[in-house]
Amino acid sequence: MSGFVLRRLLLFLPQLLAIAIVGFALLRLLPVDPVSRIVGSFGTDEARQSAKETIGLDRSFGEQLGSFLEGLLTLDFGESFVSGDSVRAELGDRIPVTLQLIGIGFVLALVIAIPLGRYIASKVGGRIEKVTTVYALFAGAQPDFWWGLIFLFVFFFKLGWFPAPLGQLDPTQIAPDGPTRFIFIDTLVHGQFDLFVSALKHYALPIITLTFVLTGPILKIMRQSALDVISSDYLLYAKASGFTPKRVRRMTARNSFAPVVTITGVLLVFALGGAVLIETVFALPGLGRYALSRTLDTDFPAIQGAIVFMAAFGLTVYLVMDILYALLDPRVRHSRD
Amino acid sequence: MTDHEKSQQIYQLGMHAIRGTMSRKQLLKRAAVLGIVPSVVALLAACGGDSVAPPPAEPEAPPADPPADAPEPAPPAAADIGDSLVILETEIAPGLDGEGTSFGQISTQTALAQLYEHLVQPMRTEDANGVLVPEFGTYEGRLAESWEQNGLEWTWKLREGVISAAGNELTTKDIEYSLARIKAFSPIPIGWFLMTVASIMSLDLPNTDPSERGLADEFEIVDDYTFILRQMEPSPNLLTVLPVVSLGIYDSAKMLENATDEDPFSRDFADQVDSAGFGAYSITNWDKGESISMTVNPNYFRGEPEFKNLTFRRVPQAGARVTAIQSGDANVTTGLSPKEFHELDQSDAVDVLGWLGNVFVALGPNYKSEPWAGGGDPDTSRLLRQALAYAIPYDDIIEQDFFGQAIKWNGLISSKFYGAVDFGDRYSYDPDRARELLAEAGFPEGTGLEGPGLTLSYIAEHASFIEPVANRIRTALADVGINIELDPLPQTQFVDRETNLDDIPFSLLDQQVAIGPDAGYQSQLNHVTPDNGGLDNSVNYASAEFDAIYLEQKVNPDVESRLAQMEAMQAILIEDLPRIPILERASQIAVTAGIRGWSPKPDGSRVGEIWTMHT
Repeated sequence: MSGFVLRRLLLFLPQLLAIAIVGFALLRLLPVDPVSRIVGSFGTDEARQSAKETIGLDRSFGEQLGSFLEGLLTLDFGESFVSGDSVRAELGDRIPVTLQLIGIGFVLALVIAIPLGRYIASKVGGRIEKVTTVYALFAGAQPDFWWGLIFLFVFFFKLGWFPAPLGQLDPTQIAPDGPTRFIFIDTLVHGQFDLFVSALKHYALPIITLTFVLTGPILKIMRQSALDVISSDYLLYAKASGFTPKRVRRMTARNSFAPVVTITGVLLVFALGGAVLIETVFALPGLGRYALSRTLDTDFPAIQGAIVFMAAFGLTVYLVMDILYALLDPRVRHSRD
Repeated sequence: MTDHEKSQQIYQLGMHAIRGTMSRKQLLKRAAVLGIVPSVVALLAACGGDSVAPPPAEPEAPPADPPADAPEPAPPAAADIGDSLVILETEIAPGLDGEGTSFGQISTQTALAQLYEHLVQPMRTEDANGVLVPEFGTYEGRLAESWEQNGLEWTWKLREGVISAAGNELTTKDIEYSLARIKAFSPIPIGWFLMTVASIMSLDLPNTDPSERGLADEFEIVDDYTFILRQMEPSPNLLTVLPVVSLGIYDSAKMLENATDEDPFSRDFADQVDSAGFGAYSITNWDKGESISMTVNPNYFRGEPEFKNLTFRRVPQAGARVTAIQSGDANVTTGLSPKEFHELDQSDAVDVLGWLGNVFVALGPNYKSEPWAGGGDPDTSRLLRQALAYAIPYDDIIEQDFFGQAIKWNGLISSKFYGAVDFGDRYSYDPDRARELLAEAGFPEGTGLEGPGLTLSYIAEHASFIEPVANRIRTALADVGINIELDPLPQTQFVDRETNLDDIPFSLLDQQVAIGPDAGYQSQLNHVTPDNGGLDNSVNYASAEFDAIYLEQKVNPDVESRLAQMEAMQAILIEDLPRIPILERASQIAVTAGIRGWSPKPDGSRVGEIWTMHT
């Protein structure tokens, strides 16, 4: 097992480096010119040259790549072409917003989907099973932003239960300045309970949206996986051998988790990029929205920083997923050792 | 009743509730039978009570004519807004230096309009709808109390007692600093460019050694409140460009406090940290790209505004901005489509203010692309362009795609600009005339037309309102025999190709503005050849006759003869049709009902000066 983990860890850095370099190169192949956005319609040749020098695009591809890789060692992605700020600082502001959103959304989805999936697998044909199966199909078949808009219309615009989708706080409230940039933590650290409550209200609908959409596929996989285990020969053998019901339940749970781990990991990585739609609908200043707007602005350093973070996040999730899979399934562990 | 039958009935009941085809009482009665009363109550709440058909009302008697001495109708009741405004925008300023990399962003220009003050501004008059309409060509002093022109020399007298947000009094040192900053930064747009338009600085400035870019003869301090500006030649555009948002005057004392050896003009400070202006507001909090809060400058020389605290918040999703202003969570929003503005205008909680300024929609057939190049024959090219102009269904586009919030553009200079000429119905929708012109050009019924110019490009991000226009044009052109395809391009690519590469064969332009409201200025921007100072001649138009008149008017100090020259220029344009003018559309903002005093500007700051807003 330790050899397996070590091998995966050793692969992590080359994979990340390869993604970063490919992303860097592809950006420079795009048929867009960041200088045009900076100098605008009034740009003379001199202005364009000056802007190029300012943002370092007058240097050769090799020199630019060298600087990028050098900065990568210290997670210094340079300064944004748009804001002039450090990209690392900007990412530091945006990443916590997205992590809070998808983190809480996933925890809630797992807390709902896993026990419910197991329960309905044991009650096949019952009313609850029918309702949840329809929900699982329905929720998973609709895009999250669409549900977000529907929830907004009903719960904010018509019923007034939640605040307007204007970000993490009310427009006139100001988020505390650190220390973690996670607003739920920072407001408590600073003793600003009114802001904490405001943040809870503002995050409620986007989190409900995400949870609503994520619960569907996880529930479906959990139900199917539990059904497979329940109807398996080995479980029948275990029961026939006189295993206690508690031990049988534990076997069922453990053996039905592996597919759930897989789908959760895939959804988690997908959600990091896909959160842009929910962030846009609810005006949350998260990483997805940042990456999208800076892509449209051809802000190379910001795009590169976002790519590196997203790649590192994805690789980490897949690494953890592999380890969990190996822990849950001894066959995987032994075959890889 | 089987489960299936029951679910069918529930579904039909839901559709009745949504469509309002059944009364509330009937719905609840049917719901009781099905055992789903709570669900139907929730559905009715969600659909709004108004959607359920009300009982027929008694016919109303026509209103009697008001007596002659009846008071004027009261203006719309203002909501209790208090002294704070929440403004929702698609973007929030990532930087705040008028000479910074983010100057081109509307969000930056919007913020600068609140933070900095200018020497002069166009005169404005509030119309019945609460819009402060600028009268281009007439100016009022702001930081300047008066000015006097004597040939190439302009003597300016500053207003005394003007205090910045930092508490420093305005003197001629601040003007000197602001101009020196512009000159030192050349060739970075945009101050240097505007000063060349005003003939204060030279287009050759960037070619000089940076150490020689200090102020020289163009500026002279007489005393603390009097200074002289000298032009190199008699350009009529000095007053035109001074109100442009990037030419705000800096509080030199505050700027110098934040200067370093590496950054003597406090570029980082002004762009990334704080403002240093004499404007109505100053920054209290700035989360770059997401929100910016401002409070009133207690020293502002024009007095305190009604709205003392401003919060600009980035809300990229148009639907969220619409619902937030309808619910009262926000007070001002911009950047909506004509359809969204039209729908908001029906709401009692919201007023939509509009101004027909300098935003237009036009076709750009490129002279370097066939068939619009006419095979190199200018006459053929002109005939093809005129055929296009006769084939456009102007009224349909205005009424159906812009909901009447636009007017037909009868020229190639924004109609409100100084020196603009209205050519009336020189071109109107006349497909028969279009076919005649096509035949005259050698392409009867469009036969033989080919080339990359038969692909019409537009900005993909604007598809919500520009794509219907593009489709309508495609249909109309096909009707006369010109078959085109549509090619939406990402905004960055479109802007790069349209403003720098000039290689889009056929474009549908919808976002350009000329920030100097003057026919000569706009001509230089769009129609003059690069060799004679043209800047954004994206269709590669070249007319020696046009350029010659442009160069003459550019240095003509005589008002009457210059107006005649600008008219002659436009007469050439309307025949050559380098672009096909379609419409001028209203710049619009949505405000909480009762807010008035919107002061639109010809530059990108759509919100204008909030100091003038009131209830």
